[in-house]
Amino acid sequence: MAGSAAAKASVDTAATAGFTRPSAIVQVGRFAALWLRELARPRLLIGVALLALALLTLIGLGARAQPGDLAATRQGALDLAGPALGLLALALGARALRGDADAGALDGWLLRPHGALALPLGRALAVGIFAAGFAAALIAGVVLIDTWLGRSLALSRLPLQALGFGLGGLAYAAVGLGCASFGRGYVVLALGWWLAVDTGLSQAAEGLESLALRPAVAFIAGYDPEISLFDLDGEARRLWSAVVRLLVTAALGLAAACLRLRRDAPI
Amino acid sequence: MNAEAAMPGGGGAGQDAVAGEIVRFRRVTRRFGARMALLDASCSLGAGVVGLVGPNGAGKTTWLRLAAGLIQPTTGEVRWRGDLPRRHPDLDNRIALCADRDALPPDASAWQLLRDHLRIAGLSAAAAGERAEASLHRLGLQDRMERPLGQLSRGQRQRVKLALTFALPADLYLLDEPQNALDPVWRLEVAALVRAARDAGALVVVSSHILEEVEAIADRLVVLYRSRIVAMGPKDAVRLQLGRAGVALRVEASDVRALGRALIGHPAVLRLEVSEGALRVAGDDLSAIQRGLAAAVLTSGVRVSAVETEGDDLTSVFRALGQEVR
Repeated sequence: MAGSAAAKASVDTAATAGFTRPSAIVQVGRFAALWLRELARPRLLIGVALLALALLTLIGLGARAQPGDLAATRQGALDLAGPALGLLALALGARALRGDADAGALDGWLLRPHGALALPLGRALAVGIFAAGFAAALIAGVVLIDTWLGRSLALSRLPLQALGFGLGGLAYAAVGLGCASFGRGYVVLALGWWLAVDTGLSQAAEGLESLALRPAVAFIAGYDPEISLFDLDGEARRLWSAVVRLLVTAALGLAAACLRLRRDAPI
Repeated sequence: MNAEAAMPGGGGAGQDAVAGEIVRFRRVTRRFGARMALLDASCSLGAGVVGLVGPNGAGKTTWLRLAAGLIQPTTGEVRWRGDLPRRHPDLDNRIALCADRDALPPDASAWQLLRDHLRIAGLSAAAAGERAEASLHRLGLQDRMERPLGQLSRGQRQRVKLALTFALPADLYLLDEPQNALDPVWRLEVAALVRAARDAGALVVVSSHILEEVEAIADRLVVLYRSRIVAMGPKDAVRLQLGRAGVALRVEASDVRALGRALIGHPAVLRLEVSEGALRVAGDDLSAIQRGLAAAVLTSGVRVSAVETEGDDLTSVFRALGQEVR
């Protein structure tokens, strides 16, 4: 039951509000934290856990079939985890923008200071972190499989695997956000990009591989840690090139989303 | 119709900022592709409660989104608090929008939603939590603020949206159908909240299709029709415009045709219609029509059972103004 109007109908003044304009970094961090909490919903976590379990089962079966061939197992794991990670981050990245846009809640966020720029950045970051967490779970699973088969653990590979999957997740999420900012046809756009650029084009011709994210993620994650990271005449050059490729793609996807949000067209 | 001329004290196109002005539209046109959403709108609004009325597709939502700074005009300009452009730091959190859509995340609680928005707005975690609680309390949601929003009724979710809108003090509140799904008690509470915001020096723009509610809350009106502002100003001034557009009496009597015959030729009566057993007497001057009707009743000897005035409420204002520009 409503109380008296006089008692409740009070609106305070600017002097009592007590807010300060947060820095852009703080805004990005807050948007990322909020979206990470959204991603931590039980239904999504269960779905992702089932996907990881299915992938690990396949990897485990492959490893058991060839217990001595570590390289083949690792390649098989990358071949399975790469597309799964890419599609997951792409879908979640698109959802991070379209969810609120379709519900009509995006305006509320965009009315907040720095909203137009901080929101896509923060949400892509959150999806990137989530995707990296998914990849980390897969890596942990592969380590368990290695242990189960009594093989030596290559823990020195972990940092580069984390880097590859983390950057990859961010880049795919940013592409998803960019696609989502182009309207309701985003599913076609994102899947079209994934099929044409990330899957088809990269295998169609030599040189076009640089447009695709999957080979870049696979190269970083599969990089041999025995090779110096700073020997720029050799493999390290390709490693850094792959890192830059992922960062540039992430920047392009985010730039598209930011520009579309600032362009005032309904998305 | 010259909308600027109908806005006493309002700044028009080409004028400088008016003291106390909170938002100004200067010859604003907004298109979405080939579709015209708002055409050549000019107005200057200071503190108070403004009713934004018009049928679906008239341009109300576009007007609100332009006033919120969420979209920009195709031509013309919108300025806030004097001459500030949109996204100026001085406008941070000074504009609040309560959208018409029921756009709340189903899994989050009301308290969580408000606290998240207030954190993004720049409040500390503690301050955001306290303010969220106070705002929800103000809207009578203290017992439901921890429940997932998906479990609340439509009316309760509408109150959550209003709690979010009024959680921070603003200069400009833009409320799109704010009383949707609210019961009569909460409609009164929301009206009181709107008045309190006005008394604190804010401009509250209330868009609604429930015209009686707008009339009860608003001091001034902006009437949109087919993407144009067709009238604006204090309610009384808009009613005067209605006088030009025409008023009518609907009379139920024992013999409406005899009464109509007695009114033929009266200088105040411009039109007579008999429909559904009632006589409709239309003209420009309501008091002159009433005097003519009284005389006609005496001369015809018919018994009058009911007299209703058409054109004295906002519905009629809008209908008449809409007909004028059609």
